[in-house]
Amino acid sequence: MVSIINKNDYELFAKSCEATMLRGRSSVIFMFFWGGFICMFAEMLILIFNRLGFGRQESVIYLNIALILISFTLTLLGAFQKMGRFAVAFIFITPFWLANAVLCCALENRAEGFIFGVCGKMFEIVGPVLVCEVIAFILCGGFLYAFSFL
Amino acid sequence: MNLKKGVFYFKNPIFISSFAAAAGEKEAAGPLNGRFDRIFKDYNFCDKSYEIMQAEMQLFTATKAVEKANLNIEDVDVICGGDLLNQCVGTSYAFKNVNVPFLGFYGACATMAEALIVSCVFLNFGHVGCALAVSASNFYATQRQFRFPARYLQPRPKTAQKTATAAGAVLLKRKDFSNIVIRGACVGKVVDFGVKNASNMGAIMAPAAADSAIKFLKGIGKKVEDFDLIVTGDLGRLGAYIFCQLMKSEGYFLNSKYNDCGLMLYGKNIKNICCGGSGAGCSASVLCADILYRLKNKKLKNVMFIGTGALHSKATSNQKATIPAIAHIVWFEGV
Repeated sequence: MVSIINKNDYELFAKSCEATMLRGRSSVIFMFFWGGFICMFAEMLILIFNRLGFGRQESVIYLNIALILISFTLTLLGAFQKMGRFAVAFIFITPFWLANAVLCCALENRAEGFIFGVCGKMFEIVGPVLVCEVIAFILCGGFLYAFSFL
Repeated sequence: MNLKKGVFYFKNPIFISSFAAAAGEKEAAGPLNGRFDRIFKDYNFCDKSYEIMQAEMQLFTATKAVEKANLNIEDVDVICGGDLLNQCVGTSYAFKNVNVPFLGFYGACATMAEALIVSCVFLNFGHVGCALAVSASNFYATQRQFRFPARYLQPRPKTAQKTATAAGAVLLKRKDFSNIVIRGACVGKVVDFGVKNASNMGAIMAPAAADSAIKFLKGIGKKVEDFDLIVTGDLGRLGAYIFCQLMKSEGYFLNSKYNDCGLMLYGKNIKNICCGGSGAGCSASVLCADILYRLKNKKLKNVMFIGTGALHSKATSNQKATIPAIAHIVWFEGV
């Protein structure tokens, strides 16, 4: 057994090695750029929909549809495999992330059949998020309802 | 001959008759380009499934290795192999139509070393005349099983490694005219140093590799200088550094003699894939596409091949359990 390194100290030792070995260039600037880019792109789409004669609320609905379609296309092309290192800010755009998470699970498991593969595994990643969201909605609704009596 | 617990020295060396390797497109674009017997196209939507693709790759390497020795696959006495998939389905499906006794095992990324050791023991005791050791892995299938689907947009930590889509097969014989032999082996023990992060495979496996290496060197009474190349399976950049530091702390200076299969497979492309390659096919394909070639061409004489594996599943990772690791060693010699 390696005697010099104590089991308790190993995690610290590994972290110090990580700090010296994997310094490299940080991708924060790229992440900032890509995060800003997708927001600007979404704003641009809203403006285009406005020009086409839709109201603000309608434009937002069409924007979500457009983002979902773009996310579907990028997932199908496998672009997220390469973008994972720097375009992580994309996951903060809910429709974008949701479409990607649902489609990737459905795609990768489609060999297992339509029911158990596609339908069964479709919400593997999104499922827990949806459950938490529904619980949060119920709690918030309950609070609002209770406060309305005050 | 058993020297010390888990360390073996074969008085009658086991001969390596032939070997074959296959890889995916990304792996073949690395420094080992042109050394693979066949390049398999990346998965596309027309293919049946990742598992079938891996099985095809594994069967191809096995058949090719046997063909190179002018034999038929049915002439092999026993096939020892494994992969990363649940219940070793990749390997089992690969050899379902082959009429040869089969042993499948799971040693995570150390499967190739494990297969070689078991084959050697069979041959050493004279139970079989020739044995085939095979191992393979597929990036998409492994990613889906152990982490998230490959197409999922997720932040990748700097310590993450990429499972290689690759396969390798080695045909071993008791008596042959080949100039590569297996002199010794070491069966490692399960080592757990308390790392819980499943994306930091290098830090998990480095202590196991160091433990087995020290045990092996002490067991056979050799020094680091006696070896031309000491190669680990898939420690990656970080794991390789930790391994060297651990060995240094015990008085073994590896210097330029050391390399890692995960780094050898991807070369300069390493920056795009974080820390390096991993997977059962990574060490197997590098062994068959590079190390054994160099031994055959007499560019190397003594090689210590350390297969390293992290023994975890998605369930234990989600339970935040610490991840144990294992390392097996095979000693190749050019005669």
